[in-house]
Amino acid sequence: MFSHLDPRTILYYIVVSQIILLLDASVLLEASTVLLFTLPFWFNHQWRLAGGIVVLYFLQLTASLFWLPHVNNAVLLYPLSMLTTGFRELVPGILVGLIAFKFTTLAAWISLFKKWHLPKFFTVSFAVFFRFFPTIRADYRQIRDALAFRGIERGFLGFVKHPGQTFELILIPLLMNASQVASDLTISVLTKGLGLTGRQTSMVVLRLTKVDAFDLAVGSVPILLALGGF
Amino acid sequence: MTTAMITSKNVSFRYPHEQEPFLQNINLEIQPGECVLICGHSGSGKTTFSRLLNGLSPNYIPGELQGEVTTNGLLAGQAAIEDYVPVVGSVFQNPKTQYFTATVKDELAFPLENSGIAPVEIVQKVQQTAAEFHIAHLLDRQMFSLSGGEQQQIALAAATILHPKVLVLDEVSSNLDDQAITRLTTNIRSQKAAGVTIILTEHRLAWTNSFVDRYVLFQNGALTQTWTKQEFLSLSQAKLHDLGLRAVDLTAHRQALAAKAYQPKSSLVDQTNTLEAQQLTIGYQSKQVLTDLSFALKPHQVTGVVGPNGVGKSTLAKTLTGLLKPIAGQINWHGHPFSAKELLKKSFLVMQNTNYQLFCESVEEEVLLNAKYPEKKDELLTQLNLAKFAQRHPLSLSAGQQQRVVIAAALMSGKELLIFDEPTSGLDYANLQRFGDLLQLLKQTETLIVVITHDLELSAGWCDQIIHLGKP
Repeated sequence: MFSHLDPRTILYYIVVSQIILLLDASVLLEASTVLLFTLPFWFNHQWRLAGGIVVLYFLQLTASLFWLPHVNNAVLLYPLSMLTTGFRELVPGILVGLIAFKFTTLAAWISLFKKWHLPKFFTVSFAVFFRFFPTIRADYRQIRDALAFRGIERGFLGFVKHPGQTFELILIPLLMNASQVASDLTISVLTKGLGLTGRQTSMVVLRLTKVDAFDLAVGSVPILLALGGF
Repeated sequence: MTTAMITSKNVSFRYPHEQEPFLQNINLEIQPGECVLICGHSGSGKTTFSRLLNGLSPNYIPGELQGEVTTNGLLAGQAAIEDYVPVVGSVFQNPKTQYFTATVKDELAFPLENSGIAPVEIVQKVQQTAAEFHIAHLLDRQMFSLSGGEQQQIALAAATILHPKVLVLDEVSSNLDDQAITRLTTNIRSQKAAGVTIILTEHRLAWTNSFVDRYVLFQNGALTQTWTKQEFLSLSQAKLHDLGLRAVDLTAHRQALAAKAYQPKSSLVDQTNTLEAQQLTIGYQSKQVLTDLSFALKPHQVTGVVGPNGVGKSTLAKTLTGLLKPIAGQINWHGHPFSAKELLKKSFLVMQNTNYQLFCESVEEEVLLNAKYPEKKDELLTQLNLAKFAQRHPLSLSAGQQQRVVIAAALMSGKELLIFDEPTSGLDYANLQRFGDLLQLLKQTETLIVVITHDLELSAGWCDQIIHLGKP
């Protein structure tokens, strides 16, 4: 069972990650942010996910620092910079996105939005969006299985061997199902009254706990480092 | 004379970009506390009409509405979707896209929170509803960990928690096994006893006999016939089939099913067997699903796999097709042990939702994708009645045609074991019959055919042997 975070803690993480991105922070600060933002994963025994992200990030970092300066082919340079530098700078934001999905619940988010009286169109869209990804992930697995029956390998190896074909073949059924899922979820949320005007309540009591306090402190470290001139 | 709960006067409905109205001149009155079942072919307008009753059309699913539909005084097209929330509870076919929150307790609380009920009262109402629906033991469970039947039960409980006057149930039994349907029946009967007006759209009719008061037939968007319960239940099976409807009494089907139960031989070694599963234990690293499973498959027969939701039917399909390795035991092909990789090359799973399995821009390209026998294309397309659709986009075809395209692709890639996962879920009788004909056609080949199904009419009517999982 995960220790749940208050959605406000996650909003704080979002702000910090965006500041780091906008500041065009130093590599040291960026790497520290990535390591700090993986702490909630380590504490919740998400070893493989956290480890995978850290390894990927440092591979990108190593490539951009030591390999990219020696690439002289302009055709290769652009996609490689995108992979090693562009995508790398997005890693803190991606980590926050994962924290938002894994360590809090949709009920907590909706409770926060109700408390802040955010517009209904935003709350309904957010609710559908939040529920959309787990459903699409299950669809993606089914499509990969379906491809395996057509002789196209599943898993990372299959993607590496036939990236274009795999991407194209997955995309069509995924998009077809995505539109149906989005429509079904919207219908469901509307018939359950999330769009009702007037006062709404919530069983979820939002409270900042010790875990939130710790995570807020961790999230503040990159900002303090930035202020300290790193 | 009581005021009708639902009235439909001269109602026609046309979807955007369509020339002709989909619903035509529907006139119907439903009294408070009445339970009405709308039956008819797929695409006859049942779901479209039900969406006019719960406010989804024309508000969210747009179209041009003529005539008047009112539900407890709410006029479709003028009342907002939100106005329907306290009045109408809705449950849909797919349980996986009906829940929003993490736990059962949160899911039941969700409509109450949205209606502004005080948290203390919410807790009481959640407990009360859980007791009524016999789901108190599920309250702290994660929604995604529940079986489809349990999720559908929670969806019904959540739809009734605001005590609506009307329930609209759109093909809610399509994905459910016998046990789940029994629970659903109990819950619907108690809602009826409480005076709730209930409208069902259904293909599977037998489970509804005990609570439906009136049956209504839709054909090509028009309401063509109504029957009282007595009139409907006295219709012969032949008459029902003529109307494209399924059976109302499954007693004979159950007997047929029992007679077809798989009889394990003292030894599986039989020259005519193609596949032999020997003492299989299947499941995942963290969880064994089924143990000591032995059976044999041979050509020219259809094997049905039946059993309750969550018993391991899909896990067995994944194991037989090589997507999962067995935890223990082995699978032999013509007497030789086969690895998961070898099984994957030999087998093909036709999924319930064929949208997952169609990747190309035309039927021709689809069947040629990684085909082992491309020279058989024309012959196979003709055999499966697909030749005239060769240049059409597969996703533009009907569900039955898509299913045939997937089968053609499987046969073109040289697959010798075809497993169908719930192939007739949500199908009317005519389409069930069509699928049965297709099984007969496949039986003439050397292909091994396995059908995973909850559908008694399919398993009793077209399967030659039945493997019943979950029975001691």
